[in-house]
Amino acid sequence: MLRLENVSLGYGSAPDILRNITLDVHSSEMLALIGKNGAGKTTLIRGITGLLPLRSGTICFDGQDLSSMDIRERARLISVVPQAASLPPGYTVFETVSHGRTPYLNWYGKLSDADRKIIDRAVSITGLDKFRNNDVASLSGGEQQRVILARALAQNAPVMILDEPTSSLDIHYQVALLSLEKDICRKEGIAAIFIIHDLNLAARFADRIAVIHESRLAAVGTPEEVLKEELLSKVYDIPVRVLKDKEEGLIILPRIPEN
Amino acid sequence: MKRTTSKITIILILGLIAAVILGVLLGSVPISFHDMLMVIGCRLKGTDVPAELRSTGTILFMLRIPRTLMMLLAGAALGSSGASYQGLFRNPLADPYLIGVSSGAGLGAIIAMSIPWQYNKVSAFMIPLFAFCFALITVFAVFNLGRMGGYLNITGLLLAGVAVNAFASALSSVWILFSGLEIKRSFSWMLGGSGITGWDRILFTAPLILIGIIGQFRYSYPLNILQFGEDQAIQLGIPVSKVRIRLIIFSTLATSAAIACTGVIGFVGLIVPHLLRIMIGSDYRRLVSLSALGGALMLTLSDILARILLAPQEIPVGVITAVTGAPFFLWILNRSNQAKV
Repeated sequence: MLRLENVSLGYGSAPDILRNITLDVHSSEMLALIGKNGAGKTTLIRGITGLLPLRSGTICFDGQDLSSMDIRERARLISVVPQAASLPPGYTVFETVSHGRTPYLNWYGKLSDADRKIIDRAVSITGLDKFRNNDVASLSGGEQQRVILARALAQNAPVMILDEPTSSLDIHYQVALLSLEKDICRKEGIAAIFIIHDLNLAARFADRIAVIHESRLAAVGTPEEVLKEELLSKVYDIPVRVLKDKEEGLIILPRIPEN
Repeated sequence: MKRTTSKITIILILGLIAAVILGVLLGSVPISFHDMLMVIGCRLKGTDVPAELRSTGTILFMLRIPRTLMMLLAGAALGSSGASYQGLFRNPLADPYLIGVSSGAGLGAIIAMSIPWQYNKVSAFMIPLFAFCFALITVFAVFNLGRMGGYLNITGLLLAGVAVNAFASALSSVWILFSGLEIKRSFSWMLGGSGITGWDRILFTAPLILIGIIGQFRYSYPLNILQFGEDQAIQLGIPVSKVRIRLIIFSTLATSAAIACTGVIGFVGLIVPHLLRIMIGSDYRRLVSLSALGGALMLTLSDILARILLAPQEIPVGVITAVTGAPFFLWILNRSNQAKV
């Protein structure tokens, strides 16, 4: 579905932050991007969404080069749930979610009946029905994150990118949001790429995990293939233990050195 | 929200009609409603105005109607531009002053006033023309200075706006002091006290103001999406740089054309969109158009007060908008803060 081939990215005249990244993402799949802070995960997302031009390589959707598309076409293919987004006040939940339809609307942003149905469905799937006409500023952080997820759903794009979607949420909302996202991916056939720092959540929810280390893709595979003590200890520069629990699956624990 | 918007639209339209009628009737020489209808009726039919109403006709068609219409248009321009600037900068305190449009236009107008033009038809347009050109130069200076590292940054734009604003205001003061301009007249103009007579200026500036307002309305939906920030707006399919540049051009066109005719008037672009946002929410499709109506109403009413409060003397209308606007604005701010507690 989405293919990155030998993609290199960087800012200004500085050296490449990412070099020769080759990666495939399939429909209905949840792919977690993990790596140390500053490894280049967000840079990769900026490259995929067109915010940062590629230094080399190509990104294709179903064989079509994204760089040949205009900004609206690209927005119809890729939706983004940004990291801990603060929503502008003065808009209702419905209005905010409706902004996801922007790539399909005319200059005035006029919604058709079909657009309204898509928005209502996104509001309903994310459990926001009772807040439909509330100002988004009156919602909690977790509810606002669901509004952003609903907006991305309303965008109706086959690829959804989530930049640390759980970073500002407590464990209840972390699990709720990722469960919802997994359910959406399965039912809607959406490919989701999500950046996450919690390796236990990555092990639990990702179908595959891509590890970025020292400007390169260090590993890609299922959680069992990728989440190895040796690799994680090298990537995070700290001893890591990976335990296998019959019920919970993989459990990743950093080992805190004793003084 | 829709019901509130409809109610407010109706109230604003009715208020504006009443304000325009009052603006035409009230002044140092009061005119009765009946006389106004008689004179306008004669004009429409193409018949002669009765002898006893000739001076009324002159007052109406050379002074009151053009002035009221100019205030209506200028208010609409300042109101809608205020809403657009607030949306562009994602800052409720942004208004035409913030990015230097007003002070740039003011400097241009002051320079034009100091040049001894030979009287001809073209010279009547020199003040508006200079004001418009200087406002555009100021905006583009702010725009380029605000580019930090080749990237159009909101903070950079705001800082550049404040700096250029101070620079243009200082130059205006120096120019007034050393150019031999009549200080009282110039100072009055800087406070929004230009006496508008006849139709020349309106005919020149009305199309510019209308193009500016229509252009802002055209880009009012993308302005909604820009509220999420540049990155998200791009990810939602909005060509951010193109939209932003066009909105700045349209807002600047409307504002500078208005200021060139009416003098420097503040507060309309700040207070009107802010009050409307509290009542109807932040959707810029509603906010830009209703701010135009609200700005027109506020400035038309302020002009009436400017004419009648110390009649036969006139107070600069910018003083009225500031004196009535500032306390009202503070009251609203205080009220909305209390509501949040």
